[in-house]
Amino acid sequence: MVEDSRDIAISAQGINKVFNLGADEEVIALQDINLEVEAGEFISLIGPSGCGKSTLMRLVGDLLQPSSGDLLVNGKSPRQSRLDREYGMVFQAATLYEWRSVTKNVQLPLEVMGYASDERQKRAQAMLEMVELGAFANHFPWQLSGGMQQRVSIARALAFDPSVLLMDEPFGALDEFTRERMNLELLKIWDQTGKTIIFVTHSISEAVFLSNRIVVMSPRPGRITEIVDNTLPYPRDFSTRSDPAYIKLVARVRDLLRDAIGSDAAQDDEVP
Amino acid sequence: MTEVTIELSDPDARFQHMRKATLLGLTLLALALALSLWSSFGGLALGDDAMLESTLGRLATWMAVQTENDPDEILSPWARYADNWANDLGLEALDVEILYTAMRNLRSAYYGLIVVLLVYTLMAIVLRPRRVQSLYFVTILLLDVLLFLIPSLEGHNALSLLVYAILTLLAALAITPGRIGRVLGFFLALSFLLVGWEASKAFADSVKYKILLPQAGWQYEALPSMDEALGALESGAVDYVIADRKDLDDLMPPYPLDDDDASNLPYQDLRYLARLDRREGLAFLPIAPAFPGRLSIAVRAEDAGKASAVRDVFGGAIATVEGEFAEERFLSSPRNLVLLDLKILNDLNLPHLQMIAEAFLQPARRNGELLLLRILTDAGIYTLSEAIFGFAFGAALGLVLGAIFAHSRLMERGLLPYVVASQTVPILAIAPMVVIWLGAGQLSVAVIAAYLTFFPVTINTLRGLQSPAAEQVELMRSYAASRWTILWKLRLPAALPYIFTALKVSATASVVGAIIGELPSGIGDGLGRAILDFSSDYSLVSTPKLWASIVMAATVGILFFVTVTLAERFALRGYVRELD
Repeated sequence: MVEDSRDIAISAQGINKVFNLGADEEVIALQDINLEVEAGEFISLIGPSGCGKSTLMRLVGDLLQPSSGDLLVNGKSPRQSRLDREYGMVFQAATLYEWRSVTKNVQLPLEVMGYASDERQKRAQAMLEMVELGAFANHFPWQLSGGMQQRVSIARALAFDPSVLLMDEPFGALDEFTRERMNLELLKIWDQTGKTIIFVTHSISEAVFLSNRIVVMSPRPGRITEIVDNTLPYPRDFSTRSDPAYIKLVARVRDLLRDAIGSDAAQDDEVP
Repeated sequence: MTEVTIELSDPDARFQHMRKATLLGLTLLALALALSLWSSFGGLALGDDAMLESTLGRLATWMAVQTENDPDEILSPWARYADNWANDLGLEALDVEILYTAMRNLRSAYYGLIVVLLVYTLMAIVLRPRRVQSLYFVTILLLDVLLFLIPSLEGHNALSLLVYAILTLLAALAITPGRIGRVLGFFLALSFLLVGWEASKAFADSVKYKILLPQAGWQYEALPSMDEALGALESGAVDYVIADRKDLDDLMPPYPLDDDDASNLPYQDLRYLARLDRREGLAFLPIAPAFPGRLSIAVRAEDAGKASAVRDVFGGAIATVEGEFAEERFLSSPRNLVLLDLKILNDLNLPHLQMIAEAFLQPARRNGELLLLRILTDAGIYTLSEAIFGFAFGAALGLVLGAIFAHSRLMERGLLPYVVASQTVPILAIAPMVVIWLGAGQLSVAVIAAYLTFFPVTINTLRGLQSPAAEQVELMRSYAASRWTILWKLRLPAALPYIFTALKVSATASVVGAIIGELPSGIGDGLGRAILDFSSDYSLVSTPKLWASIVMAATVGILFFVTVTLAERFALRGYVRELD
């Protein structure tokens, strides 16, 4: 409905995605996905490998097209939203350009989108300050650690002020301590900018720590098992991880996952 | 907790002392060699071969002759220098003695410098060890230069002294402490190559260019006349007679029989072997001397089918005629198995370094006005310009093709096989065709050079443009970037390392292509023609000139390659961390 379209950032109804339709390798990646995300929400997509969480994220970002169903982002088709540059994306690999300095990497989307040179400089510097890497503007990616590269990647994703942030296991390649630190940083950024965030992960603790709604998915075929509300208060910090409510929630998500695919799932996640 | 201190200083100090002592010893040895080298030149008269035959001596002789020409015939700057010198002295023509004396003084100063450096090195080993490496380095370089100046002459041991001196200093450098950087390493490798060149030639010369393993000689009986020898064969006293084939042909039929009528020949019960396998040896190692072609072997008719090879005959009962070729020149000579034939190292095939240097500093033809150095440099520049043009054209074509293939699967699948097939056709076959199409000139040479250049660039450009990860492309699409933007901002920068790799290969390939391309074009001004001219004559005069042309061609190729490498360093300066 028109009066809801500004509050509802993402609306998915009856989404199906099939690869290699009709062939021997036919895979039903997603089946009958229904999901509504309000503007400013932090949504986690969690599930074991093959449950279609990355596929769903890419459908939202118009990197893939659904086989059937309706998908609206900010009231528009995903393609239109992409052309209107409303998506910021962060992947598991930082995918920074090794031949560009850190600040030039952050400026990359701004160059593509035709921002003026001084505007680009300003924005890039502001973004780097926000991820606390202002001093490294003229370094090159190989001079930074994995965690720092991911922060640059986040700064780059935010440089052009998109309304939706799509993140596909962005901290998956980092060690545990860096990961927890990055979780806190991300929450801080979310608090400052108020973006809608779709966060794909296969870490239960991370999903519970970060998001205000957890979408639990299961594979073969990919579908949503349940959407869990997360009422833990913000701001969250290290103490949250010892909160009984947190532990209960983690257990609940784990049960849901285990039910969905059998006891194998539980071995993948981390100890909260 | 007990504290344990490990005394490291004692064995370490001892090692340092040993090293210092060895360095001192080696340097003293080198000093002795340098001094005897100096004194061997000091004692020479001006007209001595060692002076005249050296590179500078021959240059001086030529310069003196040039000053006798009219001023407008003097083209070379070297000759002009000599002419001005003559004018300063108020002379019409420069007396060659003046030049020799100047040369001698120059040499003395040079040797003096080397001796001083060695003495300084001796002091430095004790007092300033950090300097020692650079001192050795400089001294070795100075001695390397002498390799190109001192001629190799019978009875003169100057070259040997020089080689020993360099080897001594190289050994000393090997045990000197200090890091070997890129420049030092390059010149060290070069020194090893140069010294190895001369040392292996000296070795080959000392064994007369063959390494032999003595074998048992022929056992035979030398009879006074052919009749007696053949009589002995008929009677069974011997089984074989070795003699000139022509003589045997007059006396008996051949085996196998041929069309000639042999019925009137005297010895009808004997045959000479017309088909003889003359090879003797062990695996692929031959036996020297080989059985001469002019000789053949006579056998009794009934035994004719049994022996068909010289090695079957060896060790049997053999007779020959006294005083003839077969005995004097073959059967009585020592027999050897040739383990290694070092003919490749003789002066004709591998000239002394001095001969190559001399070829550069002599005119191309007798008493010509221009030194070969000048002629080859001009030729080198000419060929290089063709190569550069071809390289640019080929690289541009390669980039465009690579970009097209990266964007269109259809084009790639359709055209790439033809592109690959084009490279399998030998360039020597393509070159004349190009000359027919485009005429004999620099344009067709450039096209031929481009032919060798474009393929690596195409393949590497394609590979490089496809190298970005899928996620990087997805990121670009999320910015709604157009195909052009993705190409310009992502694919092209990602492809640069690959492209430069191909450009480095193409740099040298284009020089090769230019040289080959000049051959059917009939271009007279380039290196191709020079190489062709000098390779047509296999002589002690021409072969060093051929080597000089090769050196010039290599220099051109290296210069081009280094230029591309420097360009690569500049273009890729942000890319990869420098690995030390």
